[in-house]
Amino acid sequence: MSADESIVRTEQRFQVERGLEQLDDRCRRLLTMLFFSDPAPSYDDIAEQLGMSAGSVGPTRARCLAKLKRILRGMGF
Amino acid sequence: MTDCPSLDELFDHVRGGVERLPGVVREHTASCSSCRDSLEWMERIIEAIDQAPLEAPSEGAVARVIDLAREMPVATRKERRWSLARLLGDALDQPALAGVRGSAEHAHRLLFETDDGHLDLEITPSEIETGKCRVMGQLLQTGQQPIGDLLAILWRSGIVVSRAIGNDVGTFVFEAVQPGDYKLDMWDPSSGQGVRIERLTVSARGS
Repeated sequence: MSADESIVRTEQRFQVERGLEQLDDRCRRLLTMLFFSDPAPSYDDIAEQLGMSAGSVGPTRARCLAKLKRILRGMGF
Repeated sequence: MTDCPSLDELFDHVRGGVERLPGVVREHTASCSSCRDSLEWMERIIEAIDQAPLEAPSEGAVARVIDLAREMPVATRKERRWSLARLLGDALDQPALAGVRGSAEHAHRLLFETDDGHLDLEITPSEIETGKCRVMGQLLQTGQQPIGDLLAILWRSGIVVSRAIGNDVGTFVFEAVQPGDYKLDMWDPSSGQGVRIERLTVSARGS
């Protein structure tokens, strides 16, 4: 990766983190687990940690991603 | 006609590699500008979050970026201008500086000049962790105009050790910083302008 690419990626990473910070607590925690856990947690793991049913993880995740997209779009990402 | 895939479906597809998109979804996405936009956005997100650990570019690469950036006449959103901050005054070398702007008694103040303004840094003993320092900075454009909402990145030995987001008056704070030598980058995402301090020695008076 070139230095320029590295700088751009660093800035993008910051923007994503700033976007996450603007989400409500549940969405922030869910997407942080989704984005930064390796390996990705199962729906059961997410449900347990966030105190929700496994069946609601998928729809919640979709709503949280949509919120994040709106926020990041507003930041030019 | 296939329905638009949701963002979480796209996330799973992109995480697994775009080539894993089911054919019917791929065909739909190719002809749906909204889905194509979402897919590209999701790819950027994945690219950004997979960028870890963050690594600093080499010294030579940074110098080359700075040289290239200085040749750019106008900074647009896609172009990034770098400038190096130049040290104008150090309160440890010039004690008179320590008294300006109501600095704390044990503050180590540093004043830097940038291409179009200046940067004030105040380093004080940390109130959170004994033996560590608090680094507070404010980046101002000519005419004392603050650069709000900037990103400040503290590097040590090529690794990002701390990050801070400036407030609307351009002030940012790093808490509990280990004394030592660092690089400090400050970014204004809206203009693409960046300022770097190549060497910042963090130490507080009396610490």
